[in-house]
Amino acid sequence: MTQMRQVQLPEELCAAAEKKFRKQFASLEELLAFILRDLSLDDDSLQADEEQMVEERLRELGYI
Amino acid sequence: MASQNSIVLVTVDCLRADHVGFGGYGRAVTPFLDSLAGNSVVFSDAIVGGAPTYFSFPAILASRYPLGMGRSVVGIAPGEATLATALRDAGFRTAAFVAGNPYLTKRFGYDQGFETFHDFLDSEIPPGPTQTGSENNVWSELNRRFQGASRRSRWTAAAYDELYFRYCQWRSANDRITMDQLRRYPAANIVVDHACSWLKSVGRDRFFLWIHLMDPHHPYYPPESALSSVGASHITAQRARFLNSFWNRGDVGPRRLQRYRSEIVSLYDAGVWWVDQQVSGLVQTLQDMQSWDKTVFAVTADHGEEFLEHGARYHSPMSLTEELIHVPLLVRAPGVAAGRIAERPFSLIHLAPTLLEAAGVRAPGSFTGRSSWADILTGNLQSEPAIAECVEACNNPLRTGDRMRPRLLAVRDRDYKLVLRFRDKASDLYDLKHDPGERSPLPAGTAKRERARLLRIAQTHLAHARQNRDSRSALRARLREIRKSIGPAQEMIPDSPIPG
Repeated sequence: MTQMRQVQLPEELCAAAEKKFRKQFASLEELLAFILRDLSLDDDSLQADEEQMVEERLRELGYI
Repeated sequence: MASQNSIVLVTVDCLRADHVGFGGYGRAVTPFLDSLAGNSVVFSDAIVGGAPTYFSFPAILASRYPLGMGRSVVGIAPGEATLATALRDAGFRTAAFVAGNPYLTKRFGYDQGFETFHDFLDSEIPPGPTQTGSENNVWSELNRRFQGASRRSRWTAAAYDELYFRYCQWRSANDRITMDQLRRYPAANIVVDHACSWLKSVGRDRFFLWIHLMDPHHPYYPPESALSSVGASHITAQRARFLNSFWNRGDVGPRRLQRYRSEIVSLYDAGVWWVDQQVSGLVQTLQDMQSWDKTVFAVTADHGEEFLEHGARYHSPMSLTEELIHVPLLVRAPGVAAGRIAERPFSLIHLAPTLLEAAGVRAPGSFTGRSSWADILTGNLQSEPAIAECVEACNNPLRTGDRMRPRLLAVRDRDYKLVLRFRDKASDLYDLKHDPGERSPLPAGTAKRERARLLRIAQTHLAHARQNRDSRSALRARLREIRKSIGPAQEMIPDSPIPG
Protein backbone atom coordinates (compact mmCIF):
# COMPACT_ATOMS: atom_id res chain seq x y z
CA MET A 1 0.00 0.00 0.00
CA THR A 2 1.34 3.46 -0.96
CA GLN A 3 2.45 5.43 2.05
CA MET A 4 0.75 8.82 2.31
CA ARG A 5 2.02 12.08 3.72
CA GLN A 6 -0.01 14.89 5.20
CA VAL A 7 0.90 18.44 4.19
CA GLN A 8 -0.56 21.78 5.17
CA LEU A 9 -1.41 24.43 2.61
CA PRO A 10 -3.29 27.75 2.82
CA GLU A 11 -7.02 27.14 2.49
CA GLU A 12 -7.60 29.91 -0.05
CA LEU A 13 -4.87 28.51 -2.30
CA CYS A 14 -6.40 25.04 -2.19
CA ALA A 15 -9.90 26.37 -2.87
CA ALA A 16 -8.66 28.40 -5.85
CA ALA A 17 -6.84 25.42 -7.36
CA GLU A 18 -9.83 23.12 -6.83
CA LYS A 19 -12.10 25.61 -8.53
CA LYS A 20 -9.75 26.23 -11.45
CA PHE A 21 -9.06 22.59 -12.24
CA ARG A 22 -12.29 20.90 -11.12
CA LYS A 23 -12.99 19.70 -14.68
CA GLN A 24 -9.62 18.01 -15.04
CA PHE A 25 -9.10 16.56 -11.55
CA ALA A 26 -11.51 14.95 -9.11
CA SER A 27 -9.67 16.31 -6.09
CA LEU A 28 -6.91 18.63 -4.99
CA GLU A 29 -4.85 15.57 -4.05
CA GLU A 30 -5.14 14.25 -7.59
CA LEU A 31 -4.01 17.59 -9.05
CA LEU A 32 -1.02 17.86 -6.72
CA ALA A 33 0.00 14.24 -7.34
CA PHE A 34 -0.11 14.89 -11.09
CA ILE A 35 2.08 17.96 -10.78
CA LEU A 36 4.60 16.36 -8.46
CA ARG A 37 4.80 13.23 -10.61
CA ASP A 38 5.55 15.36 -13.67
CA LEU A 39 8.13 17.49 -11.86
CA SER A 40 9.88 14.38 -10.58
CA LEU A 41 10.64 13.20 -14.11
CA ASP A 42 14.20 13.93 -14.97
CA ASP A 43 16.89 12.77 -17.26
CA ASP A 44 19.65 12.30 -14.69
CA SER A 45 19.99 8.59 -15.46
CA LEU A 46 20.11 9.26 -19.22
CA GLN A 47 22.73 11.94 -18.65
CA ALA A 48 24.79 9.61 -16.46
CA ASP A 49 24.61 6.80 -19.07
CA GLU A 50 25.80 9.18 -21.78
CA GLU A 51 28.74 10.43 -19.75
CA GLN A 52 29.66 6.87 -18.89
CA MET A 53 29.64 5.80 -22.53
CA VAL A 54 32.01 8.60 -23.50
CA GLU A 55 34.32 7.71 -20.65
CA GLU A 56 34.34 4.05 -21.73
CA ARG A 57 35.21 5.05 -25.30
CA LEU A 58 38.13 7.12 -24.04
CA ARG A 59 39.25 4.21 -21.88
CA GLU A 60 39.11 1.83 -24.87
CA LEU A 61 41.34 4.21 -26.76
CA GLY A 62 43.78 4.23 -23.89
CA TYR A 63 43.30 7.87 -23.01
CA ILE A 64 42.09 7.21 -19.49
CA MET B 1 33.71 53.08 -29.26
CA ALA B 2 30.02 52.92 -28.44
CA SER B 3 28.00 51.23 -31.17
CA GLN B 4 24.93 52.86 -32.64
CA ASN B 5 23.92 49.78 -34.55
CA SER B 6 20.48 48.24 -34.75
CA ILE B 7 20.15 44.51 -35.37
CA VAL B 8 18.13 42.55 -37.91
CA LEU B 9 18.17 38.76 -37.69
CA VAL B 10 16.56 36.77 -40.49
CA THR B 11 16.24 33.05 -39.87
CA VAL B 12 15.01 30.77 -42.62
CA ASP B 13 13.52 27.41 -41.75
CA CYS B 14 15.09 24.40 -43.46
CA LEU B 15 17.68 26.40 -45.42
CA ARG B 16 20.72 24.30 -46.28
CA ALA B 17 24.17 25.81 -46.58
CA ASP B 18 24.70 24.04 -49.92
CA HIS B 19 21.50 25.47 -51.43
CA VAL B 20 22.58 29.10 -51.48
CA GLY B 21 24.77 30.58 -54.21
CA PHE B 22 27.33 31.95 -51.77
CA GLY B 23 27.56 28.43 -50.36
CA GLY B 24 28.47 27.02 -53.74
CA TYR B 25 25.07 25.95 -55.06
CA GLY B 26 24.99 25.77 -58.86
CA ARG B 27 21.39 26.87 -59.28
CA ALA B 28 20.75 30.64 -59.14
CA VAL B 29 18.28 30.65 -56.25
CA THR B 30 19.77 33.43 -54.10
CA PRO B 31 20.91 36.25 -56.38
CA PHE B 32 20.31 38.98 -53.82
CA LEU B 33 21.89 37.14 -50.88
CA ASP B 34 24.87 36.31 -53.10
CA SER B 35 25.40 40.00 -53.79
CA LEU B 36 24.91 40.80 -50.11
CA ALA B 37 27.47 38.12 -49.23
CA GLY B 38 30.03 40.07 -51.25
CA ASN B 39 29.67 42.86 -48.69
CA SER B 40 29.36 40.66 -45.63
CA VAL B 41 31.29 38.32 -43.44
CA VAL B 42 30.33 34.84 -44.60
CA PHE B 43 30.68 31.93 -42.22
CA SER B 44 31.03 29.07 -44.66
CA ASP B 45 31.02 26.45 -41.89
CA ALA B 46 28.15 27.57 -39.63
CA ILE B 47 26.75 24.72 -37.53
CA VAL B 48 23.47 24.72 -35.61
CA GLY B 49 23.34 23.91 -31.90
CA GLY B 50 20.62 21.34 -32.52
CA ALA B 51 18.00 20.20 -35.00
CA PRO B 52 15.13 20.49 -35.76
CA THR B 53 13.59 23.84 -34.85
CA TYR B 54 12.74 23.12 -31.22
CA PHE B 55 16.30 21.94 -30.59
CA SER B 56 17.92 24.69 -32.64
CA PHE B 57 16.45 27.95 -31.45
CA PRO B 58 17.56 27.95 -27.83
CA ALA B 59 21.09 28.12 -29.23
CA ILE B 60 20.25 30.92 -31.67
CA LEU B 61 18.29 33.20 -29.34
CA ALA B 62 19.47 32.24 -25.85
CA SER B 63 23.00 30.98 -26.59
CA ARG B 64 22.13 27.73 -24.82
CA TYR B 65 22.50 24.17 -26.06
CA PRO B 66 19.08 22.54 -26.45
CA LEU B 67 19.64 20.09 -23.58
CA GLY B 68 21.47 22.62 -21.44
CA MET B 69 18.53 22.75 -19.05
CA GLY B 70 17.70 19.07 -19.33
CA ARG B 71 15.15 17.30 -21.45
CA SER B 72 12.17 18.73 -19.63
CA VAL B 73 12.58 22.25 -20.98
CA VAL B 74 11.03 22.88 -24.38
CA GLY B 75 11.80 26.27 -25.89
CA ILE B 76 12.87 29.27 -23.84
CA ALA B 77 12.36 29.02 -20.07
CA PRO B 78 10.31 31.75 -18.36
CA GLY B 79 12.69 34.54 -17.38
CA GLU B 80 15.56 33.10 -19.40
CA ALA B 81 17.82 35.76 -20.88
CA THR B 82 17.76 35.98 -24.66
CA LEU B 83 19.06 38.20 -27.43
CA ALA B 84 15.71 40.04 -27.32
CA THR B 85 15.56 40.54 -23.54
CA ALA B 86 19.14 41.86 -23.49
CA LEU B 87 18.46 44.35 -26.27
CA ARG B 88 15.09 45.37 -24.84
CA ASP B 89 16.73 46.02 -21.47
CA ALA B 90 19.32 48.15 -23.26
CA GLY B 91 16.56 50.36 -24.64
CA PHE B 92 16.07 48.82 -28.08
CA ARG B 93 12.67 48.60 -29.72
CA THR B 94 12.10 44.90 -30.36
CA ALA B 95 9.82 42.97 -32.68
CA ALA B 96 9.49 39.46 -34.03
CA PHE B 97 7.55 38.24 -37.05
CA VAL B 98 7.44 34.46 -37.22
CA ALA B 99 5.79 32.79 -40.18
CA GLY B 100 3.51 30.38 -38.38
CA ASN B 101 5.95 27.86 -36.93
CA PRO B 102 4.04 26.40 -33.94
CA TYR B 103 7.29 25.82 -32.01
CA LEU B 104 8.31 29.48 -32.16
CA THR B 105 5.45 30.98 -30.21
CA LYS B 106 4.54 32.51 -26.85
CA ARG B 107 3.67 28.97 -25.83
CA PHE B 108 7.39 28.17 -25.82
CA GLY B 109 8.63 31.48 -24.50
CA TYR B 110 9.83 32.98 -27.76
CA ASP B 111 7.94 36.21 -27.20
CA GLN B 112 10.11 37.11 -24.22
CA GLY B 113 11.85 40.43 -24.81
CA PHE B 114 9.73 41.43 -27.81
CA GLU B 115 7.39 44.40 -27.46
CA THR B 116 5.75 43.22 -30.69
CA PHE B 117 5.44 39.50 -31.35
CA HIS B 118 3.44 38.28 -34.33
CA ASP B 119 3.49 34.51 -34.90
CA PHE B 120 0.87 34.50 -37.70
CA LEU B 121 -0.82 31.47 -36.17
CA ASP B 122 -4.08 33.33 -36.36
CA SER B 123 -3.60 34.00 -40.06
CA GLU B 124 -6.33 32.90 -42.37
CA ILE B 125 -4.65 29.96 -44.03
CA PRO B 126 -7.07 28.32 -46.47
CA PRO B 127 -8.28 24.91 -45.30
CA GLY B 128 -5.98 22.13 -46.44
CA PRO B 129 -6.69 19.94 -49.43
CA THR B 130 -9.67 17.72 -48.78
CA GLN B 131 -8.48 14.50 -47.23
CA THR B 132 -10.41 11.87 -49.07
CA GLY B 133 -11.78 9.43 -46.55
CA SER B 134 -11.65 11.82 -43.63
CA GLU B 135 -15.32 12.65 -43.89
CA ASN B 136 -17.43 11.17 -41.16
CA ASN B 137 -19.68 8.89 -43.13
CA VAL B 138 -20.34 5.24 -43.93
CA TRP B 139 -17.68 5.25 -46.69
CA SER B 140 -14.97 6.51 -44.39
CA GLU B 141 -15.94 3.91 -41.78
CA LEU B 142 -15.76 1.22 -44.47
CA ASN B 143 -12.38 2.56 -45.51
CA ARG B 144 -11.10 2.39 -41.96
CA ARG B 145 -12.20 -1.22 -41.70
CA PHE B 146 -10.52 -2.11 -44.97
CA GLN B 147 -7.36 -0.40 -43.78
CA GLY B 148 -7.45 -2.29 -40.49
CA ALA B 149 -8.01 -5.60 -42.25
CA SER B 150 -5.16 -4.92 -44.68
CA ARG B 151 -2.69 -4.78 -41.79
CA ARG B 152 -2.80 -8.56 -41.39
CA SER B 153 0.15 -8.91 -43.73
CA ARG B 154 2.86 -6.73 -45.19
CA TRP B 155 1.69 -7.41 -48.72
CA THR B 156 -1.97 -6.57 -48.20
CA ALA B 157 -0.93 -3.43 -46.30
CA ALA B 158 1.32 -2.33 -49.19
CA ALA B 159 -1.40 -3.05 -51.73
CA TYR B 160 -3.98 -1.14 -49.73
CA ASP B 161 -1.69 1.88 -49.23
CA GLU B 162 -0.85 2.04 -52.93
CA LEU B 163 -4.47 1.72 -54.04
CA TYR B 164 -5.63 4.25 -51.48
CA PHE B 165 -3.01 6.77 -52.58
CA ARG B 166 -3.98 6.36 -56.22
CA TYR B 167 -7.65 6.67 -55.32
CA CYS B 168 -7.01 9.94 -53.46
CA GLN B 169 -5.10 11.31 -56.42
CA TRP B 170 -7.90 10.30 -58.79
CA ARG B 171 -10.52 11.95 -56.56
CA SER B 172 -8.63 15.24 -56.49
CA ALA B 173 -7.56 15.24 -60.13
CA ASN B 174 -10.21 17.72 -61.22
CA ASP B 175 -9.89 20.12 -58.27
CA ARG B 176 -9.08 23.66 -59.26
CA ILE B 177 -6.46 24.71 -56.78
CA THR B 178 -3.68 27.26 -56.53
CA MET B 179 -0.36 27.27 -54.73
CA ASP B 180 -1.68 29.96 -52.40
CA GLN B 181 -4.54 27.68 -51.37
CA LEU B 182 -2.21 24.77 -50.74
CA ARG B 183 0.46 26.67 -48.81
CA ARG B 184 0.29 26.04 -45.05
CA TYR B 185 2.39 28.99 -43.89
CA PRO B 186 2.26 32.69 -44.66
CA ALA B 187 4.62 33.39 -47.53
CA ALA B 188 7.70 35.54 -46.96
CA ASN B 189 6.21 38.59 -48.65
CA ILE B 190 3.39 38.71 -46.07
CA VAL B 191 5.77 38.40 -43.13
CA VAL B 192 8.26 40.92 -44.50
CA ASP B 193 5.46 43.41 -45.27
CA HIS B 194 4.42 43.34 -41.62
CA ALA B 195 8.02 43.71 -40.51
CA CYS B 196 8.57 46.69 -42.80
CA SER B 197 5.46 48.40 -41.44
CA TRP B 198 6.83 47.98 -37.96
CA LEU B 199 10.26 49.28 -39.01
CA LYS B 200 8.68 52.44 -40.37
CA SER B 201 7.00 52.98 -37.01
CA VAL B 202 10.18 52.97 -34.91
CA GLY B 203 11.50 56.24 -36.25
CA ARG B 204 15.04 56.92 -35.15
CA ASP B 205 15.01 54.45 -32.25
CA ARG B 206 17.50 51.64 -32.23
CA PHE B 207 15.77 48.34 -32.88
CA PHE B 208 16.11 44.58 -32.92
CA LEU B 209 14.00 42.87 -35.54
CA TRP B 210 13.76 39.09 -35.84
CA ILE B 211 12.04 37.58 -38.89
CA HIS B 212 11.55 33.84 -39.30
CA LEU B 213 10.54 32.62 -42.74
CA MET B 214 9.08 29.23 -43.63
CA ASP B 215 9.03 29.17 -47.42
CA PRO B 216 11.52 26.30 -47.89
CA HIS B 217 9.65 24.21 -45.26
CA HIS B 218 7.47 21.32 -46.41
CA PRO B 219 4.85 21.01 -47.76
CA TYR B 220 6.57 22.77 -50.59
CA TYR B 221 4.17 25.21 -52.27
CA PRO B 222 6.13 28.20 -53.56
CA PRO B 223 4.55 31.00 -55.62
CA GLU B 224 4.30 30.25 -59.33
CA SER B 225 6.63 33.15 -60.17
CA ALA B 226 9.29 31.58 -57.97
CA LEU B 227 9.01 28.29 -59.85
CA SER B 228 9.51 30.11 -63.13
CA SER B 229 12.61 31.80 -61.77
CA VAL B 230 14.26 28.49 -60.91
CA GLY B 231 13.34 26.93 -64.25
CA ALA B 232 10.50 24.77 -62.95
CA SER B 233 7.47 26.50 -64.39
CA HIS B 234 6.13 23.14 -65.61
CA ILE B 235 5.18 22.26 -62.03
CA THR B 236 1.53 23.23 -61.65
CA ALA B 237 -0.33 23.41 -58.36
CA GLN B 238 -1.89 20.02 -59.15
CA ARG B 239 1.52 18.52 -59.83
CA ALA B 240 2.92 20.11 -56.65
CA ARG B 241 0.12 18.58 -54.61
CA PHE B 242 0.81 15.15 -56.09
CA LEU B 243 4.56 15.54 -55.48
CA ASN B 244 4.09 16.60 -51.86
CA SER B 245 1.60 13.80 -51.24
CA PHE B 246 3.90 11.17 -52.73
CA TRP B 247 6.96 12.56 -50.92
CA ASN B 248 5.08 12.34 -47.65
CA ARG B 249 4.20 8.66 -47.98
CA GLY B 250 5.46 6.55 -45.14
CA ASP B 251 4.95 3.30 -47.06
CA VAL B 252 7.35 4.09 -49.89
CA GLY B 253 11.10 3.58 -49.80
CA PRO B 254 13.95 5.71 -51.12
CA ARG B 255 14.11 3.87 -54.45
CA ARG B 256 10.60 4.97 -55.47
CA LEU B 257 10.95 8.39 -53.85
CA GLN B 258 14.11 9.05 -55.85
CA ARG B 259 12.02 9.32 -59.00
CA TYR B 260 10.48 12.58 -57.77
CA ARG B 261 13.47 13.98 -55.93
CA SER B 262 14.45 16.45 -58.64
CA GLU B 263 11.02 18.04 -58.75
CA ILE B 264 10.77 18.17 -54.96
CA VAL B 265 14.12 19.95 -54.84
CA SER B 266 12.84 22.40 -57.45
CA LEU B 267 9.87 23.19 -55.23
CA TYR B 268 12.21 23.68 -52.28
CA ASP B 269 14.60 25.85 -54.31
CA ALA B 270 11.71 28.01 -55.47
CA GLY B 271 10.85 28.63 -51.80
CA VAL B 272 14.44 29.68 -51.21
CA TRP B 273 14.30 32.00 -54.21
CA TRP B 274 11.14 33.63 -52.85
CA VAL B 275 12.85 34.25 -49.50
CA ASP B 276 15.81 35.78 -51.34
CA GLN B 277 13.55 38.22 -53.11
CA GLN B 278 11.74 39.28 -49.96
CA VAL B 279 14.99 39.81 -48.08
CA SER B 280 15.94 42.13 -50.92
CA GLY B 281 12.76 44.11 -50.24
CA LEU B 282 13.53 44.23 -46.53
CA VAL B 283 16.99 45.66 -47.20
CA GLN B 284 15.46 48.20 -49.56
CA THR B 285 13.17 49.36 -46.78
CA LEU B 286 16.12 49.77 -44.42
CA GLN B 287 17.93 51.74 -47.08
CA ASP B 288 14.91 53.97 -47.71
CA MET B 289 14.71 54.63 -43.97
CA GLN B 290 18.42 55.50 -44.01
CA SER B 291 18.91 52.83 -41.37
CA TRP B 292 20.92 50.40 -43.47
CA ASP B 293 24.24 52.00 -42.61
CA LYS B 294 23.46 51.67 -38.92
CA THR B 295 22.18 48.08 -38.97
CA VAL B 296 23.92 44.79 -38.40
CA PHE B 297 22.10 42.36 -40.68
CA ALA B 298 22.40 38.61 -40.15
CA VAL B 299 20.86 35.81 -42.18
CA THR B 300 20.97 32.17 -41.13
CA ALA B 301 18.82 29.08 -40.67
CA ASP B 302 17.70 26.83 -37.84
CA HIS B 303 18.58 23.64 -39.72
CA GLY B 304 18.69 22.20 -43.20
CA GLU B 305 16.60 19.60 -45.02
CA GLU B 306 17.20 16.07 -46.22
CA PHE B 307 16.48 14.88 -49.75
CA LEU B 308 17.40 11.19 -49.49
CA GLU B 309 21.17 11.79 -49.24
CA HIS B 310 21.13 9.22 -46.44
CA GLY B 311 17.70 7.80 -47.22
CA ALA B 312 15.73 10.34 -45.19
CA ARG B 313 13.36 13.19 -45.98
CA TYR B 314 12.58 16.45 -44.21
CA HIS B 315 14.39 17.16 -40.93
CA SER B 316 13.57 14.53 -38.39
CA PRO B 317 15.76 14.19 -35.27
CA MET B 318 17.01 10.78 -36.38
CA SER B 319 20.43 12.03 -37.46
CA LEU B 320 22.74 15.03 -37.43
CA THR B 321 23.93 14.84 -41.02
CA GLU B 322 25.65 17.75 -42.71
CA GLU B 323 22.54 18.45 -44.74
CA LEU B 324 20.77 19.10 -41.41
CA ILE B 325 23.34 20.86 -39.28
CA HIS B 326 25.36 22.88 -41.83
CA VAL B 327 23.53 26.14 -42.47
CA PRO B 328 24.33 29.43 -44.17
CA LEU B 329 25.35 32.43 -42.10
CA LEU B 330 26.24 35.88 -43.27
CA VAL B 331 26.65 38.98 -41.16
CA ARG B 332 26.72 42.33 -42.84
CA ALA B 333 27.88 45.09 -40.51
CA PRO B 334 28.60 48.76 -41.16
CA GLY B 335 32.27 49.49 -41.36
CA VAL B 336 33.34 45.84 -41.33
CA ALA B 337 35.35 44.71 -44.31
CA ALA B 338 33.74 41.86 -46.17
CA GLY B 339 35.63 38.63 -46.07
CA ARG B 340 35.01 34.96 -46.24
CA ILE B 341 35.89 33.07 -43.10
CA ALA B 342 36.34 29.69 -44.55
CA GLU B 343 36.97 26.26 -43.13
CA ARG B 344 36.44 27.19 -39.52
CA PRO B 345 33.37 25.75 -37.82
CA PHE B 346 31.24 28.44 -36.21
CA SER B 347 28.54 27.32 -33.83
CA LEU B 348 25.32 29.33 -33.80
CA ILE B 349 25.66 29.26 -29.99
CA HIS B 350 28.03 32.18 -30.52
CA LEU B 351 25.73 34.20 -32.79
CA ALA B 352 23.67 35.99 -30.10
CA PRO B 353 26.69 37.16 -28.05
CA THR B 354 28.39 38.25 -31.29
CA LEU B 355 25.39 40.33 -32.35
CA LEU B 356 25.13 41.83 -28.88
CA GLU B 357 28.72 42.98 -28.94
CA ALA B 358 28.14 44.42 -32.42
CA ALA B 359 25.38 46.50 -30.84
CA GLY B 360 27.55 47.48 -27.88
CA VAL B 361 25.44 45.51 -25.40
CA ARG B 362 26.86 43.21 -22.76
CA ALA B 363 25.87 39.56 -23.13
CA PRO B 364 23.92 38.00 -20.22
CA GLY B 365 25.95 35.82 -17.90
CA SER B 366 23.75 32.83 -18.68
CA PHE B 367 24.89 32.72 -22.32
CA THR B 368 27.03 29.70 -23.08
CA GLY B 369 28.53 31.09 -26.28
CA ARG B 370 31.13 33.79 -26.67
CA SER B 371 31.25 36.80 -28.90
CA SER B 372 33.37 36.55 -32.02
CA TRP B 373 32.91 40.22 -32.86
CA ALA B 374 36.48 41.22 -32.15
CA ASP B 375 37.71 38.29 -34.27
CA ILE B 376 35.44 39.41 -37.08
CA LEU B 377 36.81 42.94 -36.93
CA THR B 378 40.39 41.68 -37.12
CA GLY B 379 39.53 39.02 -39.69
CA ASN B 380 41.03 36.33 -37.50
CA LEU B 381 38.25 34.00 -36.36
CA GLN B 382 39.42 31.47 -33.83
CA SER B 383 38.49 27.93 -34.69
CA GLU B 384 36.96 25.47 -32.32
CA PRO B 385 34.76 22.45 -32.92
CA ALA B 386 31.02 22.98 -32.96
CA ILE B 387 28.53 20.78 -31.16
CA ALA B 388 25.05 19.86 -32.34
CA GLU B 389 22.66 17.72 -30.34
CA CYS B 390 19.10 16.51 -30.16
CA VAL B 391 17.05 13.84 -28.45
CA GLU B 392 17.00 10.97 -30.91
CA ALA B 393 13.59 10.26 -32.45
CA CYS B 394 11.95 13.07 -30.45
CA ASN B 395 9.36 14.03 -33.06
CA ASN B 396 7.05 15.67 -30.56
CA PRO B 397 8.86 17.32 -27.64
CA LEU B 398 5.58 17.76 -25.79
CA ARG B 399 5.35 14.00 -25.31
CA THR B 400 7.31 12.89 -22.26
CA GLY B 401 8.05 9.53 -23.85
CA ASP B 402 9.62 11.29 -26.82
CA ARG B 403 11.73 13.64 -24.71
CA MET B 404 13.10 11.10 -22.26
CA ARG B 405 15.27 9.27 -24.75
CA PRO B 406 19.00 9.13 -25.33
CA ARG B 407 20.50 11.95 -27.31
CA LEU B 408 22.37 12.23 -30.56
CA LEU B 409 25.50 14.32 -30.32
CA ALA B 410 27.80 15.51 -33.09
CA VAL B 411 31.18 17.11 -32.50
CA ARG B 412 32.04 18.85 -35.73
CA ASP B 413 35.56 19.92 -36.45
CA ARG B 414 36.86 21.31 -39.72
CA ASP B 415 38.13 17.96 -41.00
CA TYR B 416 36.46 15.40 -38.73
CA LYS B 417 33.01 14.79 -37.35
CA LEU B 418 32.23 12.48 -34.47
CA VAL B 419 28.64 11.35 -34.11
CA LEU B 420 27.62 9.70 -30.85
CA ARG B 421 24.46 7.61 -30.90
CA PHE B 422 23.81 6.95 -27.26
CA ARG B 423 20.71 4.82 -27.90
CA ASP B 424 22.82 2.26 -29.72
CA LYS B 425 25.92 3.01 -27.62
CA ALA B 426 27.69 3.57 -30.92
CA SER B 427 29.85 6.25 -32.43
CA ASP B 428 31.02 7.07 -35.94
CA LEU B 429 33.95 9.22 -36.96
CA TYR B 430 33.89 10.78 -40.43
CA ASP B 431 36.79 12.24 -42.38
CA LEU B 432 34.98 15.21 -43.92
CA LYS B 433 37.93 16.20 -46.06
CA HIS B 434 37.90 12.92 -47.99
CA ASP B 435 34.31 11.91 -47.31
CA PRO B 436 32.23 15.13 -47.23
CA GLY B 437 29.06 13.14 -47.90
CA GLU B 438 29.52 11.08 -44.73
CA ARG B 439 29.21 7.82 -46.65
CA SER B 440 31.79 5.76 -44.77
CA PRO B 441 32.66 6.13 -41.13
CA LEU B 442 36.32 5.47 -40.44
CA PRO B 443 36.99 1.92 -39.23
CA ALA B 444 37.08 1.47 -35.48
CA GLY B 445 40.63 1.66 -34.22
CA THR B 446 41.75 4.22 -36.78
CA ALA B 447 42.34 7.95 -36.25
CA LYS B 448 42.60 7.31 -32.52
CA ARG B 449 44.03 10.70 -31.73
CA GLU B 450 41.26 12.54 -33.57
CA ARG B 451 38.65 10.28 -32.04
CA ALA B 452 39.91 10.90 -28.53
CA ARG B 453 40.15 14.65 -29.07
CA LEU B 454 36.54 14.91 -30.15
CA LEU B 455 35.42 12.52 -27.40
CA ARG B 456 37.00 14.79 -24.82
CA ILE B 457 35.05 17.72 -26.23
CA ALA B 458 31.87 15.66 -25.94
CA GLN B 459 32.81 14.71 -22.40
CA THR B 460 33.33 18.35 -21.42
CA HIS B 461 30.05 19.32 -23.07
CA LEU B 462 28.06 16.69 -21.17
CA ALA B 463 29.69 17.56 -17.85
CA HIS B 464 29.15 21.27 -18.38
CA ALA B 465 25.46 20.72 -19.13
CA ARG B 466 25.06 18.72 -15.92
CA GLN B 467 27.00 21.10 -13.69
CA ASN B 468 25.52 24.35 -14.96
CA ARG B 469 21.89 23.40 -15.14
CA ASP B 470 19.71 26.27 -13.96
CA SER B 471 17.16 24.26 -12.00
CA ARG B 472 14.97 27.27 -11.17
CA SER B 473 14.56 28.16 -14.84
CA ALA B 474 14.01 24.52 -15.69
CA LEU B 475 11.34 24.31 -12.97
CA ARG B 476 9.58 27.39 -14.30
CA ALA B 477 9.63 25.94 -17.81
CA ARG B 478 8.26 22.62 -16.55
CA LEU B 479 5.45 24.36 -14.64
CA ARG B 480 4.59 26.27 -17.81
CA GLU B 481 4.25 22.96 -19.67
CA ILE B 482 2.11 21.50 -16.90
CA ARG B 483 -0.20 24.54 -16.91
CA LYS B 484 -0.56 24.27 -20.66
CA SER B 485 -1.23 20.54 -20.54
CA ILE B 486 -4.00 20.77 -17.96
CA GLY B 487 -5.38 24.19 -18.92
CA PRO B 488 -8.84 24.62 -20.40
CA ALA B 489 -7.57 24.84 -23.99
CA GLN B 490 -4.89 22.24 -24.57
CA GLU B 491 -2.93 23.06 -27.64
CA MET B 492 -2.26 20.42 -30.23
CA ILE B 493 1.17 20.67 -31.74
CA PRO B 494 1.85 18.57 -34.82
CA ASP B 495 4.56 15.98 -34.83
CA SER B 496 7.71 16.62 -36.73
CA PRO B 497 7.78 15.07 -40.18
CA ILE B 498 7.82 11.31 -40.41
CA PRO B 499 11.23 9.79 -39.90
CA GLY B 500 13.10 9.02 -43.07
